[in-house]
Amino acid sequence: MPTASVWMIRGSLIYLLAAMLVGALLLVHKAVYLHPSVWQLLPLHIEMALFGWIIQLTMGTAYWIFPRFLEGLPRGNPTYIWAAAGLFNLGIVLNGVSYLGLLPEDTFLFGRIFQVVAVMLFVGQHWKRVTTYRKHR
Amino acid sequence: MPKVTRWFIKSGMVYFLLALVLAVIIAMPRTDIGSVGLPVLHPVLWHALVVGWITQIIMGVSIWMFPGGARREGVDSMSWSWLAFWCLNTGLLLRMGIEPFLGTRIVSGYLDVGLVLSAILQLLGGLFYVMEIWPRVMSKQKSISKRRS
Repeated sequence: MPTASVWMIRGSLIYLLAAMLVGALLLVHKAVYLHPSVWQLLPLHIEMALFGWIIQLTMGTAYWIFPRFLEGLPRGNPTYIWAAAGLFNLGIVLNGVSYLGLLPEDTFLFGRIFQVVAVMLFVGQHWKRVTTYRKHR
Repeated sequence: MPKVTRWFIKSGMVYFLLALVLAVIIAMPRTDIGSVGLPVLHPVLWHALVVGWITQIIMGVSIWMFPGGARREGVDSMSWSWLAFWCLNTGLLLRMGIEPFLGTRIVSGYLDVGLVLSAILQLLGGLFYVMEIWPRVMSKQKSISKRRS
């Protein structure tokens, strides 16, 4: 497993636990009233579960497991996946912080833009790896 | 494919089906259903889909495909995975059974206890899965040296 995948998958596992912890808090709040601001954590819970856990794990696993190039660097230039992983996580953190009201609302837009750039880098790097080895036989 | 993976995937498929049945129920005109408050089914639908289906499929397949898995089958060698399976599913089923009736306040004390228990069980399920998979997320060199030792 390449180092970028190790970091992305481990990052996704941390987000899984964080999302489940926040989710548990929200669920407990339905049964036992905790604090009026608990419901403000709902968008953070969704961001961490969908983007942090599911999407990041998928990206990390795809980088590891998709067919490798037969010539040159087996998975392409690793700078792109590191940049994608960094921007994607920066986007999640910015969105999370703006959901909590710790940064201006505009930050959310920047968070989403970082994620779009990250996905563009990811798609650009993996497009040609979605292939078959049969035509090379 | 290990037994625990088969259980994760098959139960995931059941949740998938259940989630889409719920989606149909939610889409039906309210008058056809009677007095059931349909908005309360939304969190049940989304958690059946995201936790029951997607997360369980990911868990099952990663336990099977990630390097460094147990060579032997059985509860002893895959105890974290089995604990993750039972905690996650018991917690999720409790939630799905209780949450729609929260607003009605039928035997509310029991429902509240059940919901808290559901939250704890789901969190534990996630924790046990991470304990199984975290040491198996490693570079190829580390995987080879671990196998040699």
